[in-house]
This record gives sequence, structure tokens and C-alpha cells, in this order.
Amino acid sequence: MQMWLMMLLATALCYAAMAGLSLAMPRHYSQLNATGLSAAYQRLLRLVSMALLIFSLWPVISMWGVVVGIVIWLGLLSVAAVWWVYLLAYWPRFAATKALILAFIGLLSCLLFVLG
Amino acid sequence: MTQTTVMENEPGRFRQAMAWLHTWGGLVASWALFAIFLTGTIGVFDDDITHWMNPERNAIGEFDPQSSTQQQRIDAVHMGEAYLREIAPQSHFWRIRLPSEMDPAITVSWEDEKAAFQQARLHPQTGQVIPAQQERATQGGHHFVHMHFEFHAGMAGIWLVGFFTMIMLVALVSGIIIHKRIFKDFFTFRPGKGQRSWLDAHNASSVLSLPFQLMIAYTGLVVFVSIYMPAGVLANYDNPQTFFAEVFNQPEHRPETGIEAEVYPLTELLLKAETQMQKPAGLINVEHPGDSSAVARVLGVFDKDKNTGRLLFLSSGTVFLDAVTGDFIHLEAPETFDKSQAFAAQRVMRTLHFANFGGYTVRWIYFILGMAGTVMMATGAILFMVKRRQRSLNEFGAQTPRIYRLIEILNISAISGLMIACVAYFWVNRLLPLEMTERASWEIKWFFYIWLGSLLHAAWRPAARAWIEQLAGFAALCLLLPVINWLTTGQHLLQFFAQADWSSVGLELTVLVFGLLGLWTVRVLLRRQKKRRATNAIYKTHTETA
Repeated sequence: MQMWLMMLLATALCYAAMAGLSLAMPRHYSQLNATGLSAAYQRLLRLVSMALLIFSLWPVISMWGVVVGIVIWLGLLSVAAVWWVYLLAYWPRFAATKALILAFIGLLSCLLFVLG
Repeated sequence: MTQTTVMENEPGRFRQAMAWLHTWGGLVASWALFAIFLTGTIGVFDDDITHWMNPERNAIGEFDPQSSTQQQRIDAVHMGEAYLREIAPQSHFWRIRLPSEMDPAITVSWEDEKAAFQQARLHPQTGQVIPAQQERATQGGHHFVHMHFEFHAGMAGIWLVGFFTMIMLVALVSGIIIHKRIFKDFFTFRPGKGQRSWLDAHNASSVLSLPFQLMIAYTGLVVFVSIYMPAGVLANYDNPQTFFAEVFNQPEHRPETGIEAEVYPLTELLLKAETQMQKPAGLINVEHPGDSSAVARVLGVFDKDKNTGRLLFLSSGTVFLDAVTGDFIHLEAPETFDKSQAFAAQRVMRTLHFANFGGYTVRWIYFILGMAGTVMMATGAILFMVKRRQRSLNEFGAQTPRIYRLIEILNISAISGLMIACVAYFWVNRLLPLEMTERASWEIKWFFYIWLGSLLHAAWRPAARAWIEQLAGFAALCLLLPVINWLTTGQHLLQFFAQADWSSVGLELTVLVFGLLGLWTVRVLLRRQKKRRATNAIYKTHTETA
């Protein structure tokens, strides 16, 4: 059970990170019918996404150790990116909302773990 | 990918050469590679598939490794040995696999007079061959694995797969070179835009899963490195066996002497080996039983927990014993790795390729990324035709339309035809009578017949119709699989849930998802066809009134 939760958490973090990285590109940001991707906002999106990517290493490595963990993490990155691109193409706003929620849940559980 | 003006500078020419290589190399290899990839991806779950395909097997009961005693193992070896001594006294090879979590029965295998491997499953209590009513003779998920690495064609198949894998590496690297907007288009997929969408899908599926695709192709070649690159060994060793003995750090293979000798009781060998290893054994091999050169190899059971988090597995323990005198020859101690560095590197790549690590987490990741790879190949092959359907590029002069038609037919049967054959294999498993002789190979024959049928169908029907009909057939076969399973065996999804049989739940649900995807594709194609007909009609009336 714990394994599945941790892997879901890692996938959620990777998904949110991929979403952030792609939305920092004007082409994809405009897919949300939103305006105002300022340079500062772009930088912020990239920074948060990088942080999410680094956080996503933690659940994987704590479950599998460094060696196997990094291999699994690389695979998860691809899976998350494929999933994100698919959702973005057909349901862009849903995909982005989901990314936001998952980023929030992901960061919260990381925080809870560090505190607990 | 297309360049209208030929640039005279070097990088432009280089890129164009790479584009040619990617297009034609990719097309020619894509049909075989799609088959290698799809069956390999399905084969990730080979054990779960075998489990679903052999529902009668579960009637034997379960094997609990915790309660396994040495006496039970001795009894199992005794029964296996008695069977082998009776059925194959003059064999070159015997194997007894003891009951395990994967299979509660005793599995014996041997080489028959024609040097073909035979196998029988014995009941763990009685030692009798399990009758057909309790054993659905099937290759199960291994069929997909064998398709994947040898097309069921032995050594020739291994070479073919290696050849196409090499082309895959070439296609991947040349694809990266000709993809000018690899970062700009990183997350780009624009559906519903014709040729543009096919190219996007081809790019996205390959770029996003590129680390996996490069890894799986390269490690796939490394798995068979001693077959694909034999020159090094042949140049330095008179006998390849000497090389392998050195690499494995094991005693050299003993050649047959032709002098008859009684096989030492295998139960005694089991006891000796277990004392040496200090752990339970799971498998016994005997080379040249009945010859004075006979050697027994006893392997310890694989300890999953000790190898969690590792890519280089530790030895499960192996003991070599003289199978005539019972003398000890060599011990490979459990939980050690005493082989060369190069061999260790090859082992790690093997583990990576076979998804032997990380349990179901890794298996699902491999399944999804493997599917991304099949999408890459299918979209690549389809893109080739989509591009030329609008406007012929006249590569073959007057023969061009004929060759395009041939490519179209091959595309259809290689892609949708193989998909049908794969799911139909599950149907055949449920429909063929249990008592049939050679049942397992008939299942595989039907797989190929159905695939061939799809080729004939594709050749007979116009391309657009053939795609729709085959995909509709695929969707129907997928969506009705749980029904046919219920009708033939009485098993159904709810029951699988109740029994916590997650392998079967996973299989049927996954097949259902693919059925829905197939249905959705058919709907998209039908709608597009309708639209095209409507625009054609408008065009016609316009021209007629004018």
C-alpha cells in the first residue's frame, strides 16, 4: 500500500513539474486561453517545476534506494510527460488544473513527511 | 523533415542524408520493429498472462515458500527423477524445477532424441503427469516473449531481431539529428490537423520516451552480445566453452565420453548441495545423464528481498556435483558476485532490459513506455503514407502507385493485423479443446494464421476501409474477451476481484481499455470519412452546376 502511495506521489510531482515546464513556454500557456505570461511568471514556473522535479526524487529513492530509484525516476519522468502532453492536447484546462492540485498535494505531503 | 531547397553547405546536406536514412530505414524496419515492440511490451507481463491463460493450473493449490520443508523438496526431486529415468533415459539434458510461488507443480524438462526440448508438469503430491483437464497446454505469455526476441524462428530469428534493433538505433539517432525543433516542440501535440498531427504524435512519443527507447534497444543487443559479436571469443579461444567457463567463473563444460554410467541418486545430490549452500534449492540440471561425464548443477532459490534495490543480482547459490560419483566440484556461494567486471556490466543491462527489478512499478512503466515506442513506429509508418497520399513523390516512376499500395497493405497488416492477432491469441486459448494434441503449438499457429488473414484482408479491401474494419475487429475482440472467458471457463472480473486475483483483473481491464481506445479510433476514422464524402459531394455538385 505504502509503495503505491509513494509511487503515485512521485508520479504526481513529475506530472506537475512537466506541466509547469511546458506552461512556461508561450505556445502552451496560450493553450489555456490565458494571457499575461510575463518574464517573471515564466521564471517562477520554471523554478517551481525544477523544485518539483527534485522533490519527486525523494519518494522514489526512499522506496527503492539510489540505484534502482534513479532508473525508476527517469522512467516516471517520461510517463508523466506523455500523460501531460496527451491531456494538454485534448483537455488543456483540466490538465492544468489537475497539475496545480497535484503539485499542491505533492508538496504538502513532502512537507508533512519532513515535519512528521 | 522535407527540405525544398537543397542547401549546398555541409550541415544541410548531412541533415538531408540523415532524413533519407531515417525515412527509408525507418519504414523498412518499422513493420518488424512494431511486431518486436508490441509483443515485447505485452511480454512485460508474461507471468500474469500465463496465469490468466491457464486457469486450471490454480486447481493444484498454492505453494507457500514458508512451509516448504526439505523432505518435500526431496520428495519432489524423487518424483521428477523417477519420471525422467523412465521417459528419457538416453537424454543429453534433464531439468527438475521444484514447486515455487509461480507454479505449485513440479516441472521436468529434457532433450529428446531430436534435440528438441520437452516439458511435463507433475502433480506435487502424486508425481503423476497433470491431466489435460487440469492443465491447459499453452505457451502463455512466453509466446509474446519468443515473438519479441526470435519471431519463433530460433537462431535466425535472433539475428533478424538484432538486425532490426540495429536499424532502430540508427533511426533513433538520425531522428534526433533531423528533428530541428526538438526542444521547441518538446510538449507539442496538435490533434485533428492531418499530416501535422501524425508528425507531432511521432515526435512526441519518441522524444518524450527517448531515454527508454535508447536504453531498451541498446540493452536488447547487449543481451545477445556473445551471439551478435562472436569474433572476439572465436579469435582467442579454441573452444567457446572455455571462454564462458572463464566469464562465469565456473568449471568448464565436460565433453561427453560415450561411456555409460548410472546417474547418482538426485535426491542425494540435492541434500549435498543444500548443505553446501546453506539454503533451499529450487532447480536441478543434469548434463549428459547416463554418460560418465554427467554433471549436476543445483541452483538455490532466488531471494527477492536480498536483491531489492539492486541491478546487479547476487548469486542465488549454485553447486556443481559429479552426477556419477556424487563428488563435489564447485560452489558458487549465495549472496556473492564473483564474475568479471565486463560480465557484471552485461548482467546489469540484462536486468534493465528484462524489467527484472522494481516489481510491478517498473513493469507498468515499461509497459507504458513500450507502448509509446509502438506508437512511435506505427505513426512513423503511417506518416510515410499520409504524406504521399496527398501528393505522390514519384520515387519509383511508373511503379510508384503500386509500391505505395504495397506499403499501405503492409502497414495495415503489420499494425492493426498484429494487434488483432495478439488479442485473438487469448481467444484461441479459450476456444481450443483442452484434450487437443500439440495444443500449445496450435495456439501459436492460430496466432500466425490470423495475422496472415489480416494481410489478405488488407490486400482485398481498399485501404481506408481495411483500417476501419480491422480496428473495429480489434475493438470487438478486446471488449468481448471477458465475455468469452466467462462463457468458456465461468470466470469473470467480479470473481477475480473477490479472489484478489490481480493478475487476471489487470489483464482483462487492460484489454478492455485497449478495446475502448480501438472503438474511439474507429469513431474518429468513420467521422473523418463521412466528412470527406460530404466535401467530395459538395465539390461534385459545384462542378456539375458550373
